[in-house]
Amino acid sequence: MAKKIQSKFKLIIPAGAANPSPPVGPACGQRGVNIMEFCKAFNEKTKDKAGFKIPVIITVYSDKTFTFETKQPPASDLIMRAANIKKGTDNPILNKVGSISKAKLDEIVDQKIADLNTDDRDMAAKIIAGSCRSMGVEIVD
Amino acid sequence: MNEEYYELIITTDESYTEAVADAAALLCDDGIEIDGNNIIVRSENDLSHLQTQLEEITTPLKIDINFTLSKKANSDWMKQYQASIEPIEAGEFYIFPSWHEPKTGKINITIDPALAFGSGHHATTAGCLEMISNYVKLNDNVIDVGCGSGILGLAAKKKGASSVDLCDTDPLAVESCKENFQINNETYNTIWEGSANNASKEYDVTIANIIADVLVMIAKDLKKITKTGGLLILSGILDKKEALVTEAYNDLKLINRKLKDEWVTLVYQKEIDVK
Repeated sequence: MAKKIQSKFKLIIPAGAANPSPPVGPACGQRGVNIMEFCKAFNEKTKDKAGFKIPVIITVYSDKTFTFETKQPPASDLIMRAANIKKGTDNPILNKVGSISKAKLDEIVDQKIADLNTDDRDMAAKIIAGSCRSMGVEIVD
Repeated sequence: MNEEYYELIITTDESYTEAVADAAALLCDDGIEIDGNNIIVRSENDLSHLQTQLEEITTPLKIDINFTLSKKANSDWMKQYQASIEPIEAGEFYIFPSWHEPKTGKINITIDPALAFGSGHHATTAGCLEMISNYVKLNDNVIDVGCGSGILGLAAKKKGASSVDLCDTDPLAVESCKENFQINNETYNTIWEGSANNASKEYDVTIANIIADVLVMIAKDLKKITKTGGLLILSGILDKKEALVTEAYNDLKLINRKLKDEWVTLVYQKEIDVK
């Protein structure tokens, strides 16, 4: 059917745990998105990613129907999970807080490449490696 | 749910939005919203510590960033959403969400706006509903091509069609359609994921609320599945694209046209067999 976009916005929310409280309630409710339908569909789609925060882009059409597209968790989340750390460093040059293997880096690249502005795997690997460095996470063989 | 919640709006240059949003998402347990170059964090917990942490990270970077922290009244967001959705009337039909009551003297259809298009609130849906109200007769065989929520097929069935087929290329629409028929205690004949060329019979009325370019692309299929003497109700046509559609269907007889907002609904009759 004919669709005309009324608004588009992005949320980053815990996988499998969307509910009508803030931030989902006000963000969706104020734009006329059926909150329960969104929570139900989002939770179903992300239930296998528990523990991650998932970026989701919601498009609202002029008849108040909507669609949403989930992205992979932020690279920093994936890196912390792989390095088994809770946060990055406050000084990436002096304080290294963890490390990941090249194989783990490759796994993160596989997950994130669709969300990065490149089809070039080497470029994607450089972007993720840069995120690792800025978080104080070393890449080891 | 607390009576109040905290809202922290972080405004920064668009080129830094993603990075700042990622940092905010890492530092707080709650979700965040990104709208243009605004990052909005809403939480029932105090967010002043988050502002401090983000200031510590961003100050050395000397980027232009602004924080606005406020307390807001919490609300029953479901009720607020529900209050924003009004029933609509089109022809004989009364389309209402499940939290409203049906209306006496009307053909009632319950549709909650959800993931599949077709809540009745768009001019194209309303235009089709009016034409269904005028042209679908008792015992007609009807097909709804690009059915979305199934609202138009439902309307045809409630108007007296003996058999309704539906199709959509979007699997979500097919599921939504099945649910809406069940909610409205109606039955369809067949529903499939795919296009009109999978239809195996001819129909008295073919309804297609898609978009002009697709209506042109599938014109041959829509004409083929419509019986000689049958009708095509076409919508989803922006007025500036109407000429494209009328040209593609110029071998049929135009019997009605309705313009609502900038959207056109056309009704054609297939007088003779056309290829």
